[in-house]
Amino acid sequence: MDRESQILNIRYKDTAQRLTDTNEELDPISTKRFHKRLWDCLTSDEYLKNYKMGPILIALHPTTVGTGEDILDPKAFGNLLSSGLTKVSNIFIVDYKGKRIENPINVLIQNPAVASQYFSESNATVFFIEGNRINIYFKTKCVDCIPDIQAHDDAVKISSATLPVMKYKNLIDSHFEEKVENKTILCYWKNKSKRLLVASPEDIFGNDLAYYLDQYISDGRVDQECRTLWTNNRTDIRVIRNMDGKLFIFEIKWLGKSETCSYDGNNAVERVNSGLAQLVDYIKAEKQSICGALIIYDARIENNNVKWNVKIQQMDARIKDPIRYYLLSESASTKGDRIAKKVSKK
Amino acid sequence: MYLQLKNYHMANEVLYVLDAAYRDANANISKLYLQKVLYLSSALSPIKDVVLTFLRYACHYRGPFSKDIQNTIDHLVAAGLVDISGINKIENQLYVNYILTIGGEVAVKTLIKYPYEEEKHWWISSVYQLSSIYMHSKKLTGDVDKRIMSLVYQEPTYVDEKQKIDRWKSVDFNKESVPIKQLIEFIKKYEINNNKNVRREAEVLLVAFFEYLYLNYINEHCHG
Repeated sequence: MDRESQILNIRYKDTAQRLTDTNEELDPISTKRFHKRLWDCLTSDEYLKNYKMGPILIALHPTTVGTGEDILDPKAFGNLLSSGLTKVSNIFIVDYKGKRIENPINVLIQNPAVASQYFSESNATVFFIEGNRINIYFKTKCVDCIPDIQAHDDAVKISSATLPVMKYKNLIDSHFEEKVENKTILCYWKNKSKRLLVASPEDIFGNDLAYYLDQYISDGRVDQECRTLWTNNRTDIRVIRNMDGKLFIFEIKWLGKSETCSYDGNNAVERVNSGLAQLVDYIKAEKQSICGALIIYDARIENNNVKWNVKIQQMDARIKDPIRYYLLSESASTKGDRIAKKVSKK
Repeated sequence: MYLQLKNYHMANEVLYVLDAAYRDANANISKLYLQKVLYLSSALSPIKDVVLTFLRYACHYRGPFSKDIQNTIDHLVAAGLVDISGINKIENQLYVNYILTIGGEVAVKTLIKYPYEEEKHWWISSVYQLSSIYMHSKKLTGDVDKRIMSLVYQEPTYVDEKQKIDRWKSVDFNKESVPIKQLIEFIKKYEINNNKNVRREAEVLLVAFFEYLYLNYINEHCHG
């Protein structure tokens, strides 16, 4: 990757940069120090031994100096988790040095949506840490979302193992092969043998794909703010090309049965057409958009193509053909048997 | 105390590095570390158009080196503004650490009353603080001198200069065609400058460039 692309990628994708871009009260150098210490803490042995004792909410307050303990010291952090106190009260308001500002608040925040709202009136930046996942918010807006801090690799942003956003199909294919087909990474089946998905599987696919694209697109970044809207049933991923600000919009849909609803038969076709219509709306609303694609994760029993309404697609020339991925539900050993039989027949 | 007038600006900049080290609770700083902080301060100065004095460096076997910096430190030690806090001898090489004296502290406090000097003090302190943050990174190896060298070696001007076949390699930040300057001018075009807080905007870019140096090091050494 050339130097210009590298520095642009860092400028737009580094978490510390996103923090200071979103919250103007944050001091850039102090924020970088905080970010590095927090990351070191969360990748420490002490945290790995105790990560199931969360979730934890850390609120970085930019204008107050703390006098309490430094919770970003890995040993202190580990002790805090192992003591079980975080099962009673899991909010920590800290300064740049990780020192606590207030006495413990006896409140337990259990999910990101509530975490994003909790400090909405203040100038604190919120880090919601659940196991190895970190969601960062400022005044309810998503700043960054890292699904697995242990596997997170910042150096990807400048490596040659990336592709430009115009090659989005290759990137989404790679994501499907590496992450979706590998079910140990993404757990979206409620019942594999019945091909029943968990509730809201689009959140699982969409969140992971958004992170993957953000990491592996060489000349663009995912608009993190659009991920805030996912709480309002919007599941589009927006990629902004760095050099010219052009927008690529991807809408995520799933087909089949989940714990809460079903899209099969005619409903499946309606769902695909509805996804296309949403895409048309988004594309037309954004002057900078140059491409839109519907991505479908198909959990129906039969692996059949879906005939979408071409007239909807033709409402805007920027809409590309939908991309459908059929989700396999067989176990690794069944898959191994199937492949072995196929090879031996040859 | 008496300082030669032509060394005046050079002396100030060296004092600002030592002052930043002192306030960071590290207190003392090695000769090599001081050289590299000043190198990075000069390399990245186009971010805020800060005018610094040490702009020419030879490509030494331990990274970019300025004889002027060494001469200035020696003058400051002689003048009592800087003290030698430690000397180590390793494999016939002398490694010297320096610390600001009380006289040096007073000199800095007096100097930064002038806006031009205060600007340089802020810039050099910011570069020092960022270097200090990265010195604690798990992925950098060796002592602090080796760690800061690892970052400096990724600076684009130095990278390009090292690849030249010429025997005598040097870096001159006065030149317009210097790679780091071109890269800084490139990224500045993407910044929305609303002039609300110009220093903050400069610090944001400074953080980005330090991350650039660090990630290039990781890419080269940890990923093969």
